[in-house]
Amino acid sequence: MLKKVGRVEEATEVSSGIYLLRISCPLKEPYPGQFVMAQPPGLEEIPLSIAGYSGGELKLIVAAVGETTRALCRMDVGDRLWVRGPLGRGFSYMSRKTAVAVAGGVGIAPLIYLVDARKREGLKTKLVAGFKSRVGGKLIQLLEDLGDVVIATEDGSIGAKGDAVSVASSMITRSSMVFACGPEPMLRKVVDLCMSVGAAVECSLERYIKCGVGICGACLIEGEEVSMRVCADGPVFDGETIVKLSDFDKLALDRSGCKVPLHGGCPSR
Amino acid sequence: MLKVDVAGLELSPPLVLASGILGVTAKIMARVSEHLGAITTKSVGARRREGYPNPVVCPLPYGLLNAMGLPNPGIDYFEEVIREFKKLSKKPIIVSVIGSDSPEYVSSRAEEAGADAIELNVSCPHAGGLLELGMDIEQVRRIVRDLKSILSIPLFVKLSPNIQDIGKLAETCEKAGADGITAINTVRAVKIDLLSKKPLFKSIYCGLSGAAIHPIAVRCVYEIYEKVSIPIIGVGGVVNWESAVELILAGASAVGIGTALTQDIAIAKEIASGILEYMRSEGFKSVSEMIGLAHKR
Repeated sequence: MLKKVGRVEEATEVSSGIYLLRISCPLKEPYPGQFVMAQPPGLEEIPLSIAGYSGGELKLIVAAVGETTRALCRMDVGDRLWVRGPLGRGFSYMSRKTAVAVAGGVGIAPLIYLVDARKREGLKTKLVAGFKSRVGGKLIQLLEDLGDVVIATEDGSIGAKGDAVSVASSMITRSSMVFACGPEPMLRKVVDLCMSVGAAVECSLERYIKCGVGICGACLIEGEEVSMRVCADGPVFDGETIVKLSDFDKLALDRSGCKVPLHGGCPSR
Repeated sequence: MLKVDVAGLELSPPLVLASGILGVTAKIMARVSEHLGAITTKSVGARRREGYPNPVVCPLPYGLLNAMGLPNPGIDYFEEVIREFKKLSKKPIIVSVIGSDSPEYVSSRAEEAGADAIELNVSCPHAGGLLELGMDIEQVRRIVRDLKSILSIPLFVKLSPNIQDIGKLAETCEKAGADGITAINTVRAVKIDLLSKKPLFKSIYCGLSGAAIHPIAVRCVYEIYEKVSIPIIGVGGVVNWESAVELILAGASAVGIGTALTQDIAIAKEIASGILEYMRSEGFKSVSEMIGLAHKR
């Protein structure tokens, strides 16, 4: 997948520190759950979930948390950047089961695309979008435009009070197909819940992605008898695979290839 | 039919995972080894290295540019990875060792941990000062001699195509005691970013791999085969059985696969069956009958 030049058409702060970017860029039609590697000129190349794609226009939801994401969010209309993708394997988004999408924070990005893609196929999806606290009106509007949406906040400042998983739990039954993206402790709850009620589940996972094409090994996530490349075998994995990944919600490789606690340091440092 | 002896390593099929590709954890190496004859680890040094920041690759229509920067956790950590791999897979593990970071110490630790062979990296075109090291015939001779004096497992030396006379360097390695040659490493390259108007990679230099470098690999293997009698692992732009067979006919005893794994992590399976089919249709009974056949007139 060669790099393409993208042109920023819009960069709007939709909630505090969260931006919607619209980038015109001719890509092979992505599947919901796939990602791109995006690089503002001269800066780092970073992986970002695709939040939408139609008519040659790519949508991204970006949290301005690091040097590169801040630079991306500060881009002006007409600015150009490199885009490589779509990469990875996405959700089984055409499932005809009763679908529930569960998002934690900016994990909402790939699920926006999923809900939208299903809608275009005439398939309904219930979306539960969980946040720590109140989010901006523009983000809420963007989510409500998708259709059947429940907003949840942990402090109850808007929407239902509680985390996304507890709020979604009453909607998930044996015949549900659940799609989820968010922090791993939250995804663990989703997987546990789905396993206990017998629902099918797919989660989009995150690791430090470097090559994006499955050869460098930076993003491996593993279990006793399984080794998966998040960038090429994922980022979407089904519940049966995730329960075999003992690294899930626990360990990740650091930049040297040393396996460390998520957000921890390497013993040989 | 696909079995071949390479410096005492029994490889079946004659396909090896090239260094720098996925050789990070024991489990991924075990997964990849399923369709290969052996695996080579990422290059390891005495000290931990984080490698370069992204971007580390740039796909091209005819290959791939990379500048990973030799990320590795250091041998103190990696020896456990070697041990774990030995429990998971019966396939030989070749441990790639950074030539500029205490190669004697690293190699002996790797051997203790169960490495089946060492591959000395004196050819990375963008990190660790390895390209410069690999151009210095005297230095390479000294390192090979030192390593041979302490190792009892086979030693391969991975050479760069970015040097004047690769055949002569291979000959030097053989005389210094090397058991085999791996050729080639990536071709030194530079990519200019049209948006920033600067080199794309922080290291400025990067390495070109993939289909584009295959004829260069064939040339290098051909030249090395003319000069040495130790076995050659031919690496560079192998994307299908045809490109693998070409390297064998040019003189390679086994063939490395790297960039092609971007297409399919199990591509070796397809390549192996293609080689087998070719052997049957051409009447070869063993891989060894094909090695270097292009040289016989």
